[in-house]
Amino acid sequence: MPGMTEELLGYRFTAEPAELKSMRDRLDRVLELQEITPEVRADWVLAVNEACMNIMQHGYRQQTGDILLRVLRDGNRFNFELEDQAPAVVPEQIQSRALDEIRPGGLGIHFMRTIMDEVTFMPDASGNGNRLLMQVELQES
Amino acid sequence: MSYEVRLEKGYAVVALTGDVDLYKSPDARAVILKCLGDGQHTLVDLSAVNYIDSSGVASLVEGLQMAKDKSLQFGLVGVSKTALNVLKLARLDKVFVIHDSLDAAPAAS
Repeated sequence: MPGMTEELLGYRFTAEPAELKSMRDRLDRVLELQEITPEVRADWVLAVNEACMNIMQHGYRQQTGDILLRVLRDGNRFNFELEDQAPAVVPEQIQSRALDEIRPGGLGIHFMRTIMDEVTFMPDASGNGNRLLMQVELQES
Repeated sequence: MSYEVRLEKGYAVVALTGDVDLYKSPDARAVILKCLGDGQHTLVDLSAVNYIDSSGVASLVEGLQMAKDKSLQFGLVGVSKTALNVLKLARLDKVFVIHDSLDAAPAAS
């Protein structure tokens, strides 16, 4: 129902690669319950996974920490929010690479921006912690 | 993710199974680069891959680049729908040589 935001998932996990599969499985189940098609779920889960990877690789780096994933639905609009306590990012420096350059790496941001309608990085003003908001509208089939 | 390597049609065929993600892609990268480092033409079988992320794709790109450097043949076989979708998102589906199956791949020359 438009205008009513429903929280579908709140999941805090350790920012380690070994935790990604569990996060993906949990997110996929939540989206399946919302009757999202497997194709759309695969894209959305990929985008969230890539965002989590970025936090691990470029945020926490070698440090340990948590990631909080929240999924909210308002009508056909889905919000995926990720919070971390890694050093604050500089949003202007987060860019996807040119795709005509064939080389490993640098695809994650491209995936996120291609799949989602909006990707917004919100570093905490204190210099520690970040909030990433990804929004996407479910297209009527 | 697990992997198996077998020799067929003049290739080292690296068959990956499961999720090729940030946790497991280092294993995929290592075995692909090992085969190429040993001078073997290499095919990566993705038919049993449930999930692949950008780190898995990066492993394949590294294989492609190493194969070019060493003048070896490198390709993908049995690319699952999931994996093909990710390759398309990365606009790499036309960059890799992709065979429908191992049977459809010509013998290495």
